[in-house]
Amino acid sequence: MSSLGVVRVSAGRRLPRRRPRSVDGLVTLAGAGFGAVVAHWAITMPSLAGGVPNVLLAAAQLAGLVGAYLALVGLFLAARVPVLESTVGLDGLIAVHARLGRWTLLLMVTHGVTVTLAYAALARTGPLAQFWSLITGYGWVLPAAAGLGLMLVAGVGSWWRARRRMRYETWWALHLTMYLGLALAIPHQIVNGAAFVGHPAARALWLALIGLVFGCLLAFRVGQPVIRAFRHRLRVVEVVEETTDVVSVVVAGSRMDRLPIAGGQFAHWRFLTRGLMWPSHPYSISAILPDGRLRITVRTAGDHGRLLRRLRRGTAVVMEGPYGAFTVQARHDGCPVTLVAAGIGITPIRSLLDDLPPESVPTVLHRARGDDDLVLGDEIDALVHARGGVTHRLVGHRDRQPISARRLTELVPGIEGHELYVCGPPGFTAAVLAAARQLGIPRDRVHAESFRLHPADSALPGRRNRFAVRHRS
Amino acid sequence: MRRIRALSGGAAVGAAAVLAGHTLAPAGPSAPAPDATGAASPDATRPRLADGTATGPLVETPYGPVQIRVTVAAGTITEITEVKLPSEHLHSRWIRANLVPQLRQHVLTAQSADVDVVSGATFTGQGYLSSLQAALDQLS
Repeated sequence: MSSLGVVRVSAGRRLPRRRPRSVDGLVTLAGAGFGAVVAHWAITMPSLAGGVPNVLLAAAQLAGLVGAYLALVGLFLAARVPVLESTVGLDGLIAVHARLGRWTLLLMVTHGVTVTLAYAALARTGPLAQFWSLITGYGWVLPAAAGLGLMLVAGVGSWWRARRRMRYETWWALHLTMYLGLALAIPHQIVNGAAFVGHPAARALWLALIGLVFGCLLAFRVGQPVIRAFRHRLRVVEVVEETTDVVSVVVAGSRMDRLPIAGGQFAHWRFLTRGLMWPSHPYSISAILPDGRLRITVRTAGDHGRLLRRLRRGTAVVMEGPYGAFTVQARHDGCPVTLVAAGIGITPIRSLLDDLPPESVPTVLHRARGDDDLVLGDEIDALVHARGGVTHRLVGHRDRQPISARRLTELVPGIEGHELYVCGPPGFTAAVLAAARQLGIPRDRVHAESFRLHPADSALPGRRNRFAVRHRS
Repeated sequence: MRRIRALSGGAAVGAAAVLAGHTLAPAGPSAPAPDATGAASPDATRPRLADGTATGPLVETPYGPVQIRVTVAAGTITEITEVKLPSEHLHSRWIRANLVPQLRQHVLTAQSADVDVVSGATFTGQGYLSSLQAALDQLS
């Protein structure tokens, strides 16, 4: 076990800012954009009095415009703009991004089909002949059709059934083709679209929106990590074997007071050595030390674990992040705090404990399959006891240690008035969230972080992230 | 729930802003002033048209150039030919097939270029009518 002891929040550290009002403002703006797009469509659409072809064409234009707008909003979410990310959390952003992505693809396919049918009805030709004449006869329609094809392939790749069967690297490369697909689809809209031809103001605003979204992507997905890599120059200073399959890595850097970071967050890490450079791996930060050192604690077996254990001091480290809204900033003042963790889910809870205000008396429920799985158990105990709180170690198979509303009230009397932080595998998290709902704990006082074991199954845009999002305010 | 309210509130404001903007300042070049009464029947005060055929100038529109030829016989517009219509855009193809025949019919009925532009063909329609008007001016 590591011997970091009890650690307090250092005075000089910057915390990520949580700004729900700003997020509300951005949401309002997104809504305004949507309303403007639909209103502009209503102004520029063909008269419905023209019969079936006109109705089809109007529908096609609406589907195309709204689909493109949702794609831009989805891309903006993928840019991980700091204000948004630290308030909603990366898992929340990804969940909305995935949902918007499904709508975008559906609308774009609808656009392609209805536009073909509309012109086929007009020219009294078959849909296939019409499709051929559209993609061969109009400059930017062929690239757009190809782009839609690329986006569909990438979209199917993000379907969880397909993604489950894919290496993370494969999925990532496939998902990147979305950018290419979208880039191919944009010109036909601006050059051929009835909403933009002859409407210079609409065209200028649309181009500005595209520029803003791609600017944010470049700034926060490329620029910021690169700047931070050069500013902080992180390197490995210590590797600690916690248990047979859990290892901690301590990294240090320069000017760490300028890095906004909070306990409970995670980052995507690359160690610049063979096998750990690409792709990045999401690991929770298990401690933020006063001198700016960061510790991550990882459960990992096999080759990857061996590589981490063999990391040499001085190895350069690059991180993207830190990310996550699973922090004390999400807390309501004066609420007692109960933190519930299972297995390696204890790592963000461990660093979160450091950030609690001095007067807070936390309760920790630490579930593990066996005593060996009580990762960081002694540290947690020391931290909690120093504050006069209680730790409950729930060791044993989940049938012997079920999580239910009754069990929670037995262990933590008055828990319905507490602020709840939950981190563990999806099944465990779901059980705790269900119990919390049963106990009537308001949703905005329950905070859950999706559990990340390994990139291959991390950040799944599927059910469990959605679940976590639903339980956040 | 608060975010849903923000989203829908924003949508209402955005839609209202665009509609208001459109009402106050319609996009594109200003339309030839529509004549409320003149569209129905030939105007008695209008100078009589000389018989013959005249071709209007090429008028640029955002979709491409428009050029109209008109034939007058016995003081009546009998034939309108679209010498040039935009074809580059998908939407233009639409306008050619759907809206230009309508517009032509309106002009023949009104015996004048003083007709309302057909909805959905604002730019092409305006170009159409101004080329037509210039052709008619040659004959008056």
